[in-house]
Amino acid sequence: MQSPAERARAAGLTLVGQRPRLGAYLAGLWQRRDFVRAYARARTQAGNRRRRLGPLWELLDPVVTMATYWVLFGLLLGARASVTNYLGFLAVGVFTFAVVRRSLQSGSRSVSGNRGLIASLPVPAIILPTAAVVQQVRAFAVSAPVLLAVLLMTGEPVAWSWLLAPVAIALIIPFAWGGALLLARWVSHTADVGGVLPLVLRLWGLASGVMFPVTERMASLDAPAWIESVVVYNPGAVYLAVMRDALLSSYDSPGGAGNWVAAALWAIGALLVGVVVFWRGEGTYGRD
Amino acid sequence: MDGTDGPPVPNGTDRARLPDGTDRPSLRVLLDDVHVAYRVLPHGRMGPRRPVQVKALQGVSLDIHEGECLGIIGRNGAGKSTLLRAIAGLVPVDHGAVYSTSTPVLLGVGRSLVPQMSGRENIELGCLALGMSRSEIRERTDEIIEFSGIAESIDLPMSTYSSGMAARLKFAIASSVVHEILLLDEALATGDMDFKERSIQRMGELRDHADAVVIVSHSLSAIRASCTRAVWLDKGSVRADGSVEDVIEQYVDDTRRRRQARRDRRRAGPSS
Repeated sequence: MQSPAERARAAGLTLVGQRPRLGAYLAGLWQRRDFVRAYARARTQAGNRRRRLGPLWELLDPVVTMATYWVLFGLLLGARASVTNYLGFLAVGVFTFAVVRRSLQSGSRSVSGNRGLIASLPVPAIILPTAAVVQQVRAFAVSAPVLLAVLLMTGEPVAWSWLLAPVAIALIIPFAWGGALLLARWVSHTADVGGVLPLVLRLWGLASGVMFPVTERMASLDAPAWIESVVVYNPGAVYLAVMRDALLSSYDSPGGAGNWVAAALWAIGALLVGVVVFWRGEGTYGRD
Repeated sequence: MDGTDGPPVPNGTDRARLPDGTDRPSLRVLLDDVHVAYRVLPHGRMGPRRPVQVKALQGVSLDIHEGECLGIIGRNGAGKSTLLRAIAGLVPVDHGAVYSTSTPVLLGVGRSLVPQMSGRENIELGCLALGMSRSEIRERTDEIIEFSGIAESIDLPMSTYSSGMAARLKFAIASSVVHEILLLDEALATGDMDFKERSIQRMGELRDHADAVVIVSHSLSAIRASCTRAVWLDKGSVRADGSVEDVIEQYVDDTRRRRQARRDRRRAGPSS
């Protein structure tokens, strides 16, 4: 008498629902790239269609945020005095950090909020956090002209170093993707994490210097060295520093070229860890 | 296996001869003691809660052979839909295993559609989710629209559709792909009489193209009409497995007995 497993093997059957190897898993994602793109676009358009101003919100959202911070931090708290071109400084900060924050935010909910899709179609779950990040990168691309307009209006000269901005974005995307994957798995089995995340992300932005030059302040604060390195080399501060160094002639971040190394390391590290951790959870996401 | 004569048919014990001299059809899907439990957080308690288990399948073992059309019957909550999703590998199996020659596909488009988008845009989205290429989609779109029968509303957002229209579009998209091992949930064939007839016909075509089919249905006549074998699922385990007539008879008998028991209880109720 053969065991069921032996009979299955003899008949040439293979296990269903087994997690594929990492390579095959990523190939599965590549196969559905058209769906990822179309889904990201559809979600954006779906969100816009409910609003009277429609796609205009993709431009208005960062502008409103910027105006709020300018009044709050620039005017009332006096951050304006600490940077030469405060509006430019703020604009780069808000636009750059929005990519990270919104990717992590919507990526974290992408799996738990779309269980129905994973539980009904033979698609790798990784398409969902990926689509969420694609959606946010598209939103950044659409709103980028506003950022450039602010820079030109505030008197930043067009410089060769602007060509480094796409490089910085190319490092931010893998970081945001990896982070989104990590959080998506976490939130999928502990929904509570999703509840505190928006707050944590906003605090992180504040501590990384979206609104005022935190890293410069650290030097004058007399804090222990390790705290200073944590603040200066945390991915948020690093990505803001490289974008500002690329786009603002009036501003030089304290870290200098070291920031680029840190930016690349964070990108590679986050993506590797995120992909592996998310892949190892495949097969558990469809459970209600 | 030397692989010289035709497709890789299993040898040894699995290739017994039937009395009429033909080969016994080869095994396509094998379920070995499959258990599935859902974990849910209990309601109405403050403080940290521990998930409790709700058992949906408790040790289901089945062999499905080539050419078979297996009908699953049973009461609501017996685990029929979970069984389909477990065969398709869409819900994690807690114990036991599902084996298959190719990944069984549950007919449907799931939640890949976005209600705010038009029917036409959703056809593209649904087809991409099902793994079609862009050129295939371009070829099929007109046919899908025609089959759905909602051509005049195809450029309106899906959220403006009646539930019947949305169901028709979903069915038209999902049924535009053929699968080797097909899993069908009867609830898919909805709509008015004309569409129901056409979708039943379409399901028949899909069945003909598939090597093996599993159907979940509450309609015993549908099971009688299309299945070669039936399984009665009760509280997550197989209560009967065999010829369609036998299994349906046992199921109907059981239903009658339950009804009678309920009636007796009701009659005895007020006096006790």
